[in-house]
Amino acid sequence: MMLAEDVPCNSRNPRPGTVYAARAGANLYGSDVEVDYRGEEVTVENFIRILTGRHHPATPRSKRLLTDHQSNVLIYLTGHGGDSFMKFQDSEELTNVDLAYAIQTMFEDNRYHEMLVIADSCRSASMYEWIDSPNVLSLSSSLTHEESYSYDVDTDIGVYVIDRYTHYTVNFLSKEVKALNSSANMQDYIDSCPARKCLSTTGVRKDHYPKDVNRVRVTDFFGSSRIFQHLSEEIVLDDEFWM
Amino acid sequence: MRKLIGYLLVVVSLSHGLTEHFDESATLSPVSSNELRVDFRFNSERLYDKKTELLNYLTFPRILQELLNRYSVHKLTVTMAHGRWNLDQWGTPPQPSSPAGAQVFAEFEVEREEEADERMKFLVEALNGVLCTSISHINVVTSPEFVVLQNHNKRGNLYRKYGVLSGETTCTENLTRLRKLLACKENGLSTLLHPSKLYNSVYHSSHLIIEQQCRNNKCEAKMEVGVSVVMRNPSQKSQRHWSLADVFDRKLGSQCKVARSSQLNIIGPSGEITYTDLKNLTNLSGEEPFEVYIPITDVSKKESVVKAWSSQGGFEQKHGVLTVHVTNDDSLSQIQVSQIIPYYVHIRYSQINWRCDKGGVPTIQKIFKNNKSPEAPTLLQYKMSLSAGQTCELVIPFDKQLLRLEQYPPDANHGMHIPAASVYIEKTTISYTIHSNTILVLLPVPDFSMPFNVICFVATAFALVFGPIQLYSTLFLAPVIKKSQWGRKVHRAILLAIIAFCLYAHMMDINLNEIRRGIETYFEKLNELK
Repeated sequence: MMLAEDVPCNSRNPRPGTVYAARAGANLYGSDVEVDYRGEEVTVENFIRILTGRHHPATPRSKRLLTDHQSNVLIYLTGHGGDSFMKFQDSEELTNVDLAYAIQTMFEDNRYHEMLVIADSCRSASMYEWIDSPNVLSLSSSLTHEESYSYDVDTDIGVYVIDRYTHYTVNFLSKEVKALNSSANMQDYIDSCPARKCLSTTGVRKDHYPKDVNRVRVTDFFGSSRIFQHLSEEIVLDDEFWM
Repeated sequence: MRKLIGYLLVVVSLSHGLTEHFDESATLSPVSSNELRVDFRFNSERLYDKKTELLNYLTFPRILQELLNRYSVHKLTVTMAHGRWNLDQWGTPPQPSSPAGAQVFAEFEVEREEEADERMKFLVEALNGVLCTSISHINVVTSPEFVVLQNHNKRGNLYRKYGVLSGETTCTENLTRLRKLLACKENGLSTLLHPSKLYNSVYHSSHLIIEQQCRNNKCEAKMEVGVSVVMRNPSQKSQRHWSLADVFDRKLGSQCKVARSSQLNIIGPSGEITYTDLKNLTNLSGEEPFEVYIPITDVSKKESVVKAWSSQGGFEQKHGVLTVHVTNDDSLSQIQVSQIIPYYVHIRYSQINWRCDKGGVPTIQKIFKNNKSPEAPTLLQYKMSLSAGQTCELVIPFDKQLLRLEQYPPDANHGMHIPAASVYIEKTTISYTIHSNTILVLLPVPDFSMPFNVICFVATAFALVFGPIQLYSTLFLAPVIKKSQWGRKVHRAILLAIIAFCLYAHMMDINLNEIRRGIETYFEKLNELK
């Protein structure tokens, strides 16, 4: 998780140590929260380094992605963006070409099995325009010519606190995906924010994703599912397994 | 069965010469009529044999033992704090004193200075992993000569590295990680560490100290995790007492069974201390939760201490003055003042001076430490004795630097911090450290879109100039051809069309990506036609 602003413990937070997405919602910043990159460390360079795994040798394990050819990777980008870019902090931008190259490098290094890229910003469909790597499913909150909108405003602090797309994602996950054995599929997730609720058309790109999204569980990506299978026979892992 | 396992554990540990202890305590003391100071201390000890016992752990966190061994750390102190300790009302700050932001002091048992530098770099990154901090950009200075922190006195042949990062925030994720180092994470006093209550406070600081000493393969490793908070009574109503339920929003429902001692201390208004040993309480998990009540009285801890605060002067973008004020409300005291100056301000060494009232400037020993590296900070240290009631000011004029574009932080307009000065006070009876406040310096900030503007400007100028120059330089040589000039006309028409299209795109706010997409779809359609 990358968090550029210290929202929970900022002195201007009227309820220190907590973050709420809605007036009646639950605290999002529970005591089990782990922030891997925060403040000035949230940069485009670090983001690309996480994806490609090219770190300084001193970087601790908690700041690395450490994925292999069996991992399903979920990238959720939310914030301010525009046609072909996503803003990082004040003066930096992640372009869609950067993202596509990083994912292609990941593919060549065997760092993922399947990937889900979600971009939630204005004109976010442009973010996945250049992705050509196999097994990547991309979703966005709005099409390239559209803006995305916020959902809820907090009048106490005078700021919009959550985006529509994220709001309906949270809604969907908390209603349909309560446990790891949930049978909700990706098509349900894609349909969870229709244009009349989101006020923007959500974008989907499936041409590099060979599976039928109706038959892919949401928990393949959300929920870091660790479903173990017990084997009783002996298995020899050959070199091909590690390639 | 549980008893049996415990018994076996003890037997196993005794047979290998491995001993571990865990102690916890919480001290509550009202510091003013509506403020309560709470100090948590969790101590862990591990006595082991270096040859046989590296991989056996009972209560001591293995990750810290690995840090100690891997980076040859003798002693390490990490503090994180938010807010400012009110020296006037609250007395001596909790030791080790924490400046706002993060602070790291490490002592390494290595052969060479470069080795220590390298280990510090790795240690800071490892701490980021252990404590969930983001202190990679810490300003590290080498081997302070005078004392900076009370528990890091200079002794032995150790390489010492000290660094401060004032902009670092501390929040729930750090507390969660600190809690993971404790032997009892969910029982005992650690249940009271409730983030939304602790951070809803006037001041909070936390620290981690680890230390290891080895002699003939017998090693002793120690850990201390501390959390100190000053809370303000949220309800201004005439509440008569503080209670655990009010202060922490949690109830103390269980004991830490592995702890050697577990104490709850309450310091009354006149300094009397009430000890409660939680190990002796039998009804802790009963129906009625354990509760203590601390009466709210008008206490004011008027301790006579040395106080320090920093201020900033200057009225322009280029220069500034940093002033560190030190006041001695106590009797004659030996003090050692340390100030780190980061690389983004350049100090004027010749104009640094001390100003004192009452009896003039005392004799001062000073040491300045600088480094060849352009991004290394400077350390100014002074040793002097301050007589009772005397106030001294250290005046440091500085020039603000215009940095390289990549040296600015992502939110450069916020300004950059000069860390708090640290003052170590040494008396015959007591020694402690205090910290002044952090200074936020507004640096001259360039226009970050400047490279883009320069490219646009140069390209425009070049295009405007190139036309006539090319015309006049080639016109003279060109033979007059009276033939049909269709080629030229077509060329001009294309240029005009491009200019018209550019103007149209500019007026209609069409960006480059949309034009590219338009061309792409056009070519796709052409392909389909075949």
